Amino acid sequence: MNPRIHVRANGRPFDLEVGTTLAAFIRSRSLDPRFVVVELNGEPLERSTYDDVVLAGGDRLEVVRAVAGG
Amino acid sequence: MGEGQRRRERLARARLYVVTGARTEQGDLGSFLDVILSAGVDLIQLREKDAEAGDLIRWARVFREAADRHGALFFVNDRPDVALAVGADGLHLGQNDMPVEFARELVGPDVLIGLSTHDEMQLRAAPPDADYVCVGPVFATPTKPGRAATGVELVRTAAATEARPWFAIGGLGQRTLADVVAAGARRAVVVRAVTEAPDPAAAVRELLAALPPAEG
Repeated sequence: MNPRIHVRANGRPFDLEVGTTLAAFIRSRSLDPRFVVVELNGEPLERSTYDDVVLAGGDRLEVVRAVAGG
Repeated sequence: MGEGQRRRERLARARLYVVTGARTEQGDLGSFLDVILSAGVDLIQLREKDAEAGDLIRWARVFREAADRHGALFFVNDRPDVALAVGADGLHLGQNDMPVEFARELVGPDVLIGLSTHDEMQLRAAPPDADYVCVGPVFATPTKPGRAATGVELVRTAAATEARPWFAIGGLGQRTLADVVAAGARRAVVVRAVTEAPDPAAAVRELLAALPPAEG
């Protein structure tokens, strides 16, 4: 069996394959990585890094949809 | 004890391997190497794929002296001639570099040889002349664009089958290393996690803390 990792996103637990990138996770939530803002363990991330960031067991994510206007 | 035996015993105890260029932009090669070796890095590798021999040899001397100051091993990427010229401890080869058997004839029995492998077939085919193998890239990495990540499956295969020292490589960092260790890795190669860290010594200590203790 493949090892799995557990992360929390917006307070909810998720069980993912080891090696899941942030971009893949965002898409798996039916979101478009171009239109979300993400904090990983309290740190905001540059959108250009989403494809390179591999999630790790215990990571805490805040994923917020970016909304135009105000 | 022969030089080859001394190097192989040092390799067997190794846990953390850092691959870096010559840091010509930062201009801090010697001090950077001293910082990471003081923090506990076991192996350093000079990788500058497009550099000419003269530059490589100048940089390699800095690596050689730094490794000697800290009792670490120094590997040259790709170039047996440069490895011999500077008295490197070892030579690291990719799948499309000079074949391991030819390199062994050139460098002799006392210079260690490492080999990159990217799938199970390459891992199983690694010649006995390779003193260590690397498996990966485990995760997606901009250091090797276009090469598909192997995932942790190859790490599990290596853990189950590989008798010689082997290193997980590819996109490994402080956050993700524990997951690779859980899959069976005991040794890791890192690039950006140390070379681009704001505090390279702290990065080295965190990575070492995530790895199991040395064997033997």
